[in-house]
Amino acid sequence: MKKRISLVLAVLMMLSVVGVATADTSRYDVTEPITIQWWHAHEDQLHEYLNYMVERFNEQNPLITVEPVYIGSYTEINTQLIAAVASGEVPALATANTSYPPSYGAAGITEILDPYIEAYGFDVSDFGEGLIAATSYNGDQIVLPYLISTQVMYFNEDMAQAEGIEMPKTFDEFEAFLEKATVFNADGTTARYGTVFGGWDYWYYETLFMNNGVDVILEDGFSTDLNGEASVYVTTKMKEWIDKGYAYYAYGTGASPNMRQLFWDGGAFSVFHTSSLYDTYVTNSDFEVGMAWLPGGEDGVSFKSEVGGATILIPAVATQRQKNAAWQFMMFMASPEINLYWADQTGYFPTRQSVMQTPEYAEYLERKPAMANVVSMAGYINPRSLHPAYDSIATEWRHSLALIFNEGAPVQATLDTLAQTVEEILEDF
Amino acid sequence: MSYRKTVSVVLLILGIVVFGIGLYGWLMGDLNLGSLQHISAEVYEVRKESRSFEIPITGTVGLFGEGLVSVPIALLSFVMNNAIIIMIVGITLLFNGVMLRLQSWEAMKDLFCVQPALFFFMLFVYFPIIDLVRISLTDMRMLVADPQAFIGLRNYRWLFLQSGWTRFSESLLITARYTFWELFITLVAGLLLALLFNRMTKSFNAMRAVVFMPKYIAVATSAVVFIWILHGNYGILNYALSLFGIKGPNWLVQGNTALYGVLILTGWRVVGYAMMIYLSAMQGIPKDYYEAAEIDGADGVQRLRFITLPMLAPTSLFLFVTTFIASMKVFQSVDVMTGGGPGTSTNVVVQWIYNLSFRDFRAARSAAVSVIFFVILLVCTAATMMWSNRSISYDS
Repeated sequence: MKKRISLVLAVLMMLSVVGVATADTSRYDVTEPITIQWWHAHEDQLHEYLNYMVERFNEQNPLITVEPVYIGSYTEINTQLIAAVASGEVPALATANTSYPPSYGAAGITEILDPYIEAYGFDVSDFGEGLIAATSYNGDQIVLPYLISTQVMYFNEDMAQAEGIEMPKTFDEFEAFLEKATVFNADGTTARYGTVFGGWDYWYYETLFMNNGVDVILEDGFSTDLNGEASVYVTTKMKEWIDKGYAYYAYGTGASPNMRQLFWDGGAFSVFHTSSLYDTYVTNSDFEVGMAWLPGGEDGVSFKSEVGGATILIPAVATQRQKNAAWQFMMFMASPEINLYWADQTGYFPTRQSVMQTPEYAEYLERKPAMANVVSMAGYINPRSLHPAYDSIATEWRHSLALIFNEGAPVQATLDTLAQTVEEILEDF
Repeated sequence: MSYRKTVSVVLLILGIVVFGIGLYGWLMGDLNLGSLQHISAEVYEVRKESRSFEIPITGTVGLFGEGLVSVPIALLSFVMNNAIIIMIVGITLLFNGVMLRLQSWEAMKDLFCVQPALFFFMLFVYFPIIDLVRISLTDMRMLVADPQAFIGLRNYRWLFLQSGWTRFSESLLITARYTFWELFITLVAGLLLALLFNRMTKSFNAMRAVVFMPKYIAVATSAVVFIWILHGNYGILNYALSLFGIKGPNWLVQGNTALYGVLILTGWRVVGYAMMIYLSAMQGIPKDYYEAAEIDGADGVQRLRFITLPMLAPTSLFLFVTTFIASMKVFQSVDVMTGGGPGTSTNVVVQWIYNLSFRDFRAARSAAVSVIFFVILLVCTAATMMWSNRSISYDS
């Protein structure tokens, strides 16, 4: 079966990538042996699959040897990439989280891919409008998406069925859900948290704010709504739940693995995390893992979520030889075949719409019903903010929420100070 | 003219020429001086082009390339890329030229011996300091295409008169708090342990080794271990506290305890070192003093107060100065354990400098903070040394 899938997808890849090449590719062809480095941020549990893909590419492309190098988290890879660009000694390829392309585009750090795409007739439209917007800057394609994910809530399906707990569809339903899902000890301390908010990265909680009408950067580009009524409401509610012991705010070094362990140990009914870790959650749990969409807007029908995951880029200061070899690998990584392979081995979504129409994908969803629930709502996934300062602003926001949730800082005053800082950052840009 | 003088003149002329070439490259490259911009722009253009046409080069355009660039452009590119080294070579030649006129051949032989070290000092220590000042006067942002625009004192105005001041004063205060506690642990706990372990038996030797050992474990490694030890729910420290009915805090996640969490690691690492330094100093105190005091009827506390502590004063000063400077520059443990958080509760100055450069990519602002911090450290150290020279006896 696997061989057949591979064969079908390989043909698909050939058709979409090479078969429709229309322009002259000679300028970008690899004509002599070259070894290139790919800096990535994929942790240990993905190395087996990653190495398999790289080996396949190296076999298929005898002139190119790709060396994958694990650099660290997305933040670390960002830091090192910027330093490498400044020094002029860069890898041919680097992975970047979906939040970075806007600032890279503004700084001219990435190679503009349009000439390559044109030369090879690479079908970008297959990514869909949202993903193209998320990976472009000023209309230029600057990175390619190869793995995407979104924010989800993992929950203990066994407990949910045994105790009749339903996941909340709106923010207003959240409190009732927490009351039911939380278990207290006799002395009043929490024995099982209703949920855990991922507080080490703003991406995990910003959806709660977005769905309640908060705009981190307002349309004028110089002001923020982070100290507005809606933001204060959501923050106050979250603080209230944390103070009551319903929820726990996972923050600081090691917050992510600690949160996962808490969930696996039965110390939390649900957690906010990324869909990409679906397989990790399932493998490590001795119970059925459910996956739910984050609470949406008040109407219970409209939802917003933001695209997460990884894009791949070529630094603009790389040599043309590096770039040519890197482009071949980029096409490979964004091909339908690899798309489905990654999705199957992890919890990432395929980035190509054509893959989602294949029987192989339908079969994959049958095997992973929890994934199917989330994928059915993939249309709600939006591009992330394209403002180059968004990441800096969101970091300040994260620190302010930590002060409120962990230190008991007053909500309105802290958010007012945050808004002032944010507006200074925006003015600076 | 003697042979020595002739060589001296040659070196002086050569030094001036080489330094001039280096300076020209520096002004044109890093400083991108207005009047030279048209020349440097030509080099940049060639470099940019060479990147796009399959020339596997980095930095200098093909000086010995395949006729793709003209020799003058390649030479200019070479000079721009290596301006600093060329300038330092020029300074070295000038220095030797001058010294040859002032000293004998014999003395020059000694001087030649130290010059390789001096060259590397200039390249890796003094030049970066000078360049730091230069960067602090520019608008260098690692995420902006033209990173070298000269903006005068604008970064210092931001630091002292605008939003930078709040963060800077806050960071200085956090650093001062950290330094105070590290000094306290080093001087007080180190001394107490030294008094306790001041017995030359085998079992005490072994125990001393155990206390001293953490100093040799890499900071990053021990920081990772301490993240687990200090974890609120699973940490062994809170488990130990719970045995006594104490509910430990979430050390590294709460702003009011995070700095103390880092200090627990610091104390564990430094106390053994301070103990060993004090112990070795104690071995140097003549026994006669204690015998005379005993004859005069002095008890243990009096002997400690009037003999041991005064005789250890130079050692305490040494520990004070070295610990002060090291703790003001604390970074690794903070970066690994908290990254400056939660919020800004452990955002010590060096962590802030790092974040400015590598998180916010504001290299110029980061340089401005570094320059001011360098001055603060310099003043503090000089003041401490001047005070100690007046107040401390080095009799022992």
